[in-house]
Amino acid sequence: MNANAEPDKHSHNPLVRYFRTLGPGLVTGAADDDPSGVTTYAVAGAAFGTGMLWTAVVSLPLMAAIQLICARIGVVSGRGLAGAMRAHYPRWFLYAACVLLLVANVFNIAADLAGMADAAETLTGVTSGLWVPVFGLLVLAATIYTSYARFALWLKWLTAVLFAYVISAFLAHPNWANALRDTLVPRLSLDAAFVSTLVGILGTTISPYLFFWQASQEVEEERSLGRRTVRERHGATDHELRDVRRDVVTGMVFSNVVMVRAASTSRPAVRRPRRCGRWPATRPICSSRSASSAPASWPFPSSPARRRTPWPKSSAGGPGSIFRPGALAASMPCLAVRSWPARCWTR
Amino acid sequence: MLGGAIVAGALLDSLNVSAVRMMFLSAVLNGLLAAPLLVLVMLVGNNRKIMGRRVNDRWLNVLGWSATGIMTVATLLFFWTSL
Repeated sequence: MNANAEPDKHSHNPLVRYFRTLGPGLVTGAADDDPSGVTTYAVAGAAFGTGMLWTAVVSLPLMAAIQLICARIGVVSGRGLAGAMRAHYPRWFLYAACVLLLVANVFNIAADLAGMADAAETLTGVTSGLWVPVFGLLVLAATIYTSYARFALWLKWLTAVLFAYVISAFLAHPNWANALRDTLVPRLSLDAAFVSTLVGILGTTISPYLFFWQASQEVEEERSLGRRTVRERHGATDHELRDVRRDVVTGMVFSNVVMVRAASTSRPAVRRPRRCGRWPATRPICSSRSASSAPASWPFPSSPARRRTPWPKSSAGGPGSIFRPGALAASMPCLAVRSWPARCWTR
Repeated sequence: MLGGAIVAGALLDSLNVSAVRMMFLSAVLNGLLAAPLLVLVMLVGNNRKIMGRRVNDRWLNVLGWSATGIMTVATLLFFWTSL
């Protein structure tokens, strides 16, 4: 991305050159499909079938633009988003943003950990209570004891795991014609369940946490090239900005392809009648084929909701057999992304 | 921060709160936070003191403010339908 890195960028193979420009954007795209994101897509798929696939198309350019703006802020200012804000806006502005973000993020990590633990329980039979601290400490150790360069490389390769969702979607044999129509034709409903699912989908896609992460990671990327001070990192060449754009757009396209696939995987799996019988609480959603019959106050505590993750058990031997380990492994980059900036947030 | 999240995660898990519902709610929470933070991002991205001549170009502004608008509408709809 700068003069130092130029020599090894000059490969004659355009694919190799392309892959080398990938990095923060791709990882951010993968982190966007974290357990809570995938679960939200699965919940949407269970409740509304393919009816919400259009959100993937609508959100793609928006999300790419936002992440690109954040990436540019990181590259140009040489600081993370919080750092740039701190230098130019009143303190309370930043603190308000950080407190909100912190609460949401702690809750998000907790939920993701619980989701991973559930997935691990269904895979190994070992109780999920054990897995939460195990995964937590694993991620903690990885974020504290590794260098950015090595960590980023792991993350880049881990993104490949997300293809498990793509494969399992094909194994699930969705109705392609319906899926295509619902992807291209937006549908809206003012039903409370529909709106909250919509907010959830948009929220995991255009996720505030990733704004900060994206900018910070671009800064880390520059630091790994030896630019230690803000002054050294300030500014960016056209070339750098072009690479950043390519990286971010690739990551976001990748992210939303996985999103569509994850959403269409869950639908047949969750709708199995067997599962509806096992957990009576899920019946209202399982048996309903339309948005309107979902209870109005769903998914809030007073209302019936799913007891466990939708992917396990419902489809033994089916798409789930790839989906589960895939989901588990795919959780790692997301969790790591969410916890990493604890180190580099305000730089 | 991560330590707190681990404790919270273990706690919530032992409370037998459905992980799916937690994950779903955390997604909704993120969605509700997005609108105000999007405004911040757009302000920083258009701030000449920070970005110099690299402020957002027209496309980034159109898409960025659309995202902000959509998230705001979605948030308002959420409060309107759920509360």
